[in-house]
Amino acid sequence: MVKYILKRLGLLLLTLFLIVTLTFFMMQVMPGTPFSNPKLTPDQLEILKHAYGLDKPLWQQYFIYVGHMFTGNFGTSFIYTNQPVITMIAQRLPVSMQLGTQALILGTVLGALMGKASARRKNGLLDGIFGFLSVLGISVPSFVIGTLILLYLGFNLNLFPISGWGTFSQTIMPTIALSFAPMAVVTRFVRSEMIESLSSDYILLARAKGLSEKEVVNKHALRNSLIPMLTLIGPMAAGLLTGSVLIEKIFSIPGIGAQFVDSIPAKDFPVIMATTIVYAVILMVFILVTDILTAIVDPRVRL
Amino acid sequence: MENLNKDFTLVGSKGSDSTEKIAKPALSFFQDAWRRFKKNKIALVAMWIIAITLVFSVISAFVVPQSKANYFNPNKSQVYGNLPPKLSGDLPFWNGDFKAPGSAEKTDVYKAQGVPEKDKYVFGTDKYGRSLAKRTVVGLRISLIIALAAALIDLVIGVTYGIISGWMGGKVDMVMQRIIEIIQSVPNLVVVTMLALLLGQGISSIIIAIGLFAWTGMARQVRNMVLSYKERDFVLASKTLGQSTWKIAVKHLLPNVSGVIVVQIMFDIPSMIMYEAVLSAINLGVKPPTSSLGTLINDGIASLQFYPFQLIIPAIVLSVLSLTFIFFGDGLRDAFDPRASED
Repeated sequence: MVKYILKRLGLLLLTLFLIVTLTFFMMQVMPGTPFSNPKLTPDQLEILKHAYGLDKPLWQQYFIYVGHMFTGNFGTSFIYTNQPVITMIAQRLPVSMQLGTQALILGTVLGALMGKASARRKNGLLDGIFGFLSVLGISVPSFVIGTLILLYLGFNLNLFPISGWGTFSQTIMPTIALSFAPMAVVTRFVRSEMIESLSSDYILLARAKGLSEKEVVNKHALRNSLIPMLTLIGPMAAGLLTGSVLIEKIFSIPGIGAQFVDSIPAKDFPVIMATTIVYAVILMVFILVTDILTAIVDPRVRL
Repeated sequence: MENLNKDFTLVGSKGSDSTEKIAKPALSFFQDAWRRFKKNKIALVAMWIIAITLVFSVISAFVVPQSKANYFNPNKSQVYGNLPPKLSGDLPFWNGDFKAPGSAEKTDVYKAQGVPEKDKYVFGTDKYGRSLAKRTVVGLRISLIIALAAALIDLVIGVTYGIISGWMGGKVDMVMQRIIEIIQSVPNLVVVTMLALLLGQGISSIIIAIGLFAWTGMARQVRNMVLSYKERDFVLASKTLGQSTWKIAVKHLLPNVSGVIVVQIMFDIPSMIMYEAVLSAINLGVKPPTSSLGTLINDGIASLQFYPFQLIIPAIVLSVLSLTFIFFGDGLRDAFDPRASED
């Protein structure tokens, strides 16, 4: 197990190194420059370039960047003067994390409950309603759901504050909007897993030895369905933590996704690079953690 | 003879031929799958919708070219802009009536803005006075082009990669799988961003981005199948008979894996269609004035408070499109692998 984890960590570092290198050199081929203000004189441009170390040869810039990266220094933003990129990300990442975590918890818990209810009464009324909801969650993009929620719950009914971030009530609408997709996926998944396990022999045994229906469903059927769900949640969690770009835009949430989108047209290369690295690390760590968790929870999986 | 046996029923008198005969012709794998598929009514409907949409889109390319959907007369935007859907005055929704927010009464916008009697817009118009029906048709076409590209990339890159990786096994497989893991851990958004900056935004950079990462799921599935199938006896048999590796791959492995391939394609398509919409909504996708479902939705979001139909129509088209692919894929999965879902 330890050996496996070490091996995976090694691969993770290698991947990260590749990503850093690739993004660094892709930035160089990118057309345009962040210093495009026509008022800048050539002398001023020189000073700017020197200040950001852009006058050095490319390979030197690369090594400086990688060297600084190990000390947690991702450079300073080209656009927001003297703002270290690392503090910009440190300010915004927790916001996205909180939103993603809330949506993930809401989505998986609701999804598991709905899936359970659907599986117990297959083809019943609840199954139909939940099936319809999960189909909606899969096929309607989250930003459309987000806008509709914003309009009807926010503007028309005035239930929640419309935008911004800080109080809990401000997080409710974006959380609901973001949780639709995971809820739909989890509902479908738990439903089909539970239908399968409910018809298996060990459930028959559990019933035969006289366990109550509640115990059979919750302890035996549901728990077994949750294990394979772990592999589903890992990449999904990473996606939620990072991929809420549009939801952040719609609800004006100061998250990392909104920052990333803003930094693209501004050609704020240090921010783009640092965000890329953060995204990649989150994604890889989540996949690794879910693999390890699966092995811990399920004794049949050997690493 | 007939008379003698009057009181008795002869059992099996027709000879052994008839009892041994197989009543129905043997079904090939695909015929059998089709028989199961037909039972799933939703999937069948989805298949027809997809087929009709495809034909419709191909024909529409000649009737509604992109330039026609993008064209507007800036002098007449006042007259034709933001018209609600209208077919005829009697229909409940398509009557051109519109209730402005804050006012209690509905007004016929067509009359109020002085639109000539003969002009009607099924899906209404946008703020420049462009027909949303035409723009939606163009958007649908772009979504289908993306779908087609995703399917092709899955087939060409994903399947080939998977077969090679699974068939070679050992070190080659190890390296190829690590490459997939690396590709999967690069956030898609980042790749697309860079491509959009590098090549300029547009449908081609979306397709290239899909080509870079969207085939990994397919490659993994195919590889796992090939890994298990290549140990089977029928592969060993054809090897002993001197069949070339190439022929074994195409004639024996591919048909066995085809079910998985088709199902995987059907699951990749809706996510790629959705992907285009998301990209267009953050201005990384299709460049205006070209309309895609994503840009239409994005424009609709901006004017949702006043003209909800501008968001709802493209959103419904997008949702229905990905839904039909999902249902079609579900049906195909059940048809190809009856054990997977006995419910």
